[in-house]
This record gives sequence, C-alpha cells and structure tokens, in this order.
Amino acid sequence: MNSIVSEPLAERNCPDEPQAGLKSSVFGELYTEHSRAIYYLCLRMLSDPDKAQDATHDVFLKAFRKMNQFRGESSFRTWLYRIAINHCHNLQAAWHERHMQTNADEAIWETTPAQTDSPLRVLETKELGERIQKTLDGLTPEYRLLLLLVSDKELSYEQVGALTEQSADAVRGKLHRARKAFSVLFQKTA
Amino acid sequence: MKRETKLTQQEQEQLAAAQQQTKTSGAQEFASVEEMLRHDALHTSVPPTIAHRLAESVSQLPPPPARGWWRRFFGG
Repeated sequence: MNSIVSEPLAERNCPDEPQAGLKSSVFGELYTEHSRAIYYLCLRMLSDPDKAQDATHDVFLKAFRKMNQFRGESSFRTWLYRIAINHCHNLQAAWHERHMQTNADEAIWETTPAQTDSPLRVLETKELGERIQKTLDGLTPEYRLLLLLVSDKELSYEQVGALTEQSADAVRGKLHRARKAFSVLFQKTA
Repeated sequence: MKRETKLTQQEQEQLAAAQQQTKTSGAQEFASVEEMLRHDALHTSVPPTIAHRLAESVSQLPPPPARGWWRRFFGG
C-alpha cells in the first residue's frame, strides 16, 4: 500500500474531463474498489440516499486530502471506514441537536421470543431495502454499526473491534444480541 | 496473520440450504442477518453522480503533500 500513498495521485488526473481523470488514476481505482461499501454504510447509517451521496463524496475527498497520512498500518478499507463512521457520527450529532429522537425501546427485543435460528425470509426483493432500513433505524446506533461492519466479509472481528473501539471478544458478545434485536424487529416490518 | 472466518460450519450449511430453497421456491431466504445485509449491499447501486462530483472536487485541489521520503529526495 505504500506505493499508493507515495505517488502524487492528483498529478495523474486528466484536467480536461474530471470523471475520466478519476477513472484513470490510482485514487479512481480505490474509489471503484471501495465506493460501494462506503456508500452502503453511509446510506444505512444516515437513512437518506441524498445525505449518503454527499457523505460518500465527502469521505473520499477527505481521504484524498489526507492520503499522505495513511501509513498502511490498517487496510485502506478500514481507514476509509473510520473516516466514514466519524463523518456520519458528526452529521448525526448535528441533526440530533436540532431534533429530538428516541431510539426504539430495547425492552421490545429483550422480552420477545428469539427467532434467530430461523432463516429471515422475504418475498419481494424491492421491499427488502426498505425493511432493512426500517429495522436498522430501530436498533441502537451501536448494534446498527456492528451489524453493518460485520457483514463486510473483508473485515475481521479484530478490525471491527478496532473501528468500534472494543475488543474482538466484545464484538462477538454484542453481535449475538444485535442479531437477535435485528431479527425481532425485522419480523415486525413484514 | 490468518484471518478468522465469520461463518461457522453450521452457518455455512444453513446458508447453502437457504440458497437451495430460494432456487426452488422463488422466495428469498437468508441464513443470517449478515447474509441479508451483504445481499442488500450487493444490490445497492452507487449513484454515478458521486464519482463525477468527486472528480470535479479532486481536480480543483492541489496535489496532496508528498510523504517524508519523497520530500527528502526531491525537496519541497
């Protein structure tokens, strides 16, 4: 990864056609590889496609500006995730200052019979995204983030733990409760 | 460093069974929450306007500062 950060990336961009320049640059290749993961995280954290677009743009622009600070101690995707999580948290904090919002009562899933062993079934593909969003919105921010990160196959429990500032064992422990909470809430969205 | 797989043997078997049932029934079933989220992410398109906006933003920025070794050899 050092070769990526040591190159003067912006000089490889073509100034005549910005989008073509991005595609032909190393940074463009990184965007192609990681944009789906970052956009999806922003979309599901912010619950708003327009805000997710802005956030994804801002995350990659911030990464471009700070590229010289990336030391290769973590994977590039983990580094991007850290920027994205901080950015989304800042946006949510600003939003919460203007609006009062209450999280779903955790007691709901604590007292509901667990159905985590049975498969989650959906009949309509088009409804899946809406139901997932509604379910994630009902979870605590910590559970929501844990599930989103763990669902990325490229991240290990250790990396998820580093991103959420806890041990891998703590991630494993909380995941069980997060999965259960998701399953219970998801059934209610049917 | 060997990376730990997040799917247990039982989960992998459940996933395979669910995928097989999906083929035959037309319904979508997911063996785990993570599997459902992965499917959702895979079917979520990244709006192409982001790449265009990003390219425009990047083209207006000066080149990022070089790393230390680069500075030592080439000055600046």
